[in-house]
Amino acid sequence: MKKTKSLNILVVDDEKEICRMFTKWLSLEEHRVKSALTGKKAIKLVKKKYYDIVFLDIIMPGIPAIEVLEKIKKISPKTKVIVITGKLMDVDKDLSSELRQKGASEFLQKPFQMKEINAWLV
Amino acid sequence: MRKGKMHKIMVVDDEAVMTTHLDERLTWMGYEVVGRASSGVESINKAKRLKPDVILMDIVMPGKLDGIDASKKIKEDLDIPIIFLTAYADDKFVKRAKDVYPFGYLIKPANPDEIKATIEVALHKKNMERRLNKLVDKYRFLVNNINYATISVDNHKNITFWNNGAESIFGYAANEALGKPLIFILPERIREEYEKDMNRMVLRRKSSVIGKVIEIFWLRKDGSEFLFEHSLAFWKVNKVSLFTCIGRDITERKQVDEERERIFMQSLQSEKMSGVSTLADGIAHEFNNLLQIMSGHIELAKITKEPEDIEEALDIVLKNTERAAKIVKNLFAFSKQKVSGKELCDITESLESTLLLTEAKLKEQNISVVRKYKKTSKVKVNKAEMQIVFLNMVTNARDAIGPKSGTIEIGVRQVGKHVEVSFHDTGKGIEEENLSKVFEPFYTTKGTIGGGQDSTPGTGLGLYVSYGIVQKHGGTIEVESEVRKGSTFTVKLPMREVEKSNK
Repeated sequence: MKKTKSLNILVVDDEKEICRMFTKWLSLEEHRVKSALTGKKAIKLVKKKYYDIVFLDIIMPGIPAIEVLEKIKKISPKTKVIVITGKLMDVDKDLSSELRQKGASEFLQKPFQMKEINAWLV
Repeated sequence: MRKGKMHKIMVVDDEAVMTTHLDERLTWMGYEVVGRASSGVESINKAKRLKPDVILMDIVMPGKLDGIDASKKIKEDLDIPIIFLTAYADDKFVKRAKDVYPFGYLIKPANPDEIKATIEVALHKKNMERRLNKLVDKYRFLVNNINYATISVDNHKNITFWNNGAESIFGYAANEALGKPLIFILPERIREEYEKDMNRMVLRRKSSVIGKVIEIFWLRKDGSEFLFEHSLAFWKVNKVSLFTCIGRDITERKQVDEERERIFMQSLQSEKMSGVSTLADGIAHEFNNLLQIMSGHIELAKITKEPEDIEEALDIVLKNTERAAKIVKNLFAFSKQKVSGKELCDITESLESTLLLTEAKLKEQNISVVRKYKKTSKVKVNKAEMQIVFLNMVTNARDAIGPKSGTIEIGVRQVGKHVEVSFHDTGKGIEEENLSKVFEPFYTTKGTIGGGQDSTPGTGLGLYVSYGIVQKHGGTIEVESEVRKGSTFTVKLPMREVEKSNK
């Protein structure tokens, strides 16, 4: 496999094991990965450093994910935010169009294959 | 001499000297002599007209009727105490006199004190008798007119009392029933059994059925059977055993009960189904998460070279399959058709298994659950049914909070002989005028003012079914609420059955 350039990636999910899964997978590809279990922590991290990609779970306790998305895009407009969801986005058209409007680039519908995300890592 | 009304006396004697003398005496004693008669016939007429309080009656008088005959006639129409005052004390007079229940029998010449004492005793006895009769009439009226059949039988098990209630329930008039054996109003197949039971009661003077309410089929005059709910009393009066049976026709009530039970079971079933659909959304979400964790780690295990990384990834997969299995198991309780029995269980455990199913949905709505659990004794409950109650409580709290975030505080504690589970939400609350309606079937506010964008319209059966379930467990559900502040629903379950099982 051709080596791509190393990216700064942030994973935001309240499930520790989802964060772990992303971290392990992306580390194998030699990206630099950080993870946050809450939206609050994510915003803090984005303020400190530039991230190329943020994987953001849409359902989390605390600050609504839509606000987190807005804040990230405001702090760092060039960051690509990929929304992860356990919900069927096709069913919830209103929510998906709102997320796109707020700056979400892609949607990842759980359960997905880790191989799928490699396409975005170029 | 005496206060108030003077008592009126009538003197009946054929000797004028005697009556005049008595007159004076009685007047002096403070009585009013309202009339005199010198023959039996005259005494009857005057008694009717003058209505004296007491009659002093001579026995041997000229004319068709003597004093005893006259007394008999007077007693037929009038309720006046009669005292015989006669020169004769022969057995034959005394014997005849006894038949008219005199209030005294004085032998001439009687001394004034004796006469006065006898009159006073007669007046007093009559007064008591009237009061007693009034009481007897009152109770007879009551017994006759209550809507319950009241039937008494003697020691031969023949009917000796049959009230109006029995007439209307069984269709037999009193004269058709009195004197008949009790078993004639029992279906043949249970006659023998019932008789045996009654014989046993007479023998032992007690029975397991005494004081208990029994429901058995009895027979109407038209031959139809009906469910008669009754209780038996057994008593002895002057060495004669008596049974009294009081009861009512409960056919209609049974039908209503059965219908109510049927509707309840249907509602319970539909509530289970709607419980499943309420949960489906959240559970699908939860499963997607679990599947993601599992498939992601399997992928990792496939490409990782480090053995410990593989091991760790597979451990995570295994752990999450267990979590998924637990959710499925809890979900099963809702779809089960058969209602299983009660078992001793830890209420917090049962509560947690419900919360496990609702977790994802609550998280999605940004509702946090605060647990305030205290240690309690175990309670005997039907686990599956209790889960429906808890799910309802949580779902209602969630819907009350609506699309904004909030808190559900769940408390478990022991208060006296009850285990209490309370659900407090920071939702919109319930108006006071609606508080009494929340447990009624089909009462709902959901779908109109309730919930967020994805709130499911309510069936109006949730609390009705929950209440029914808790009631079946001998408990209650109480509600307190304040508009815009939130509501608290408290499920109270008795521990009574636990104590029994511990013995």
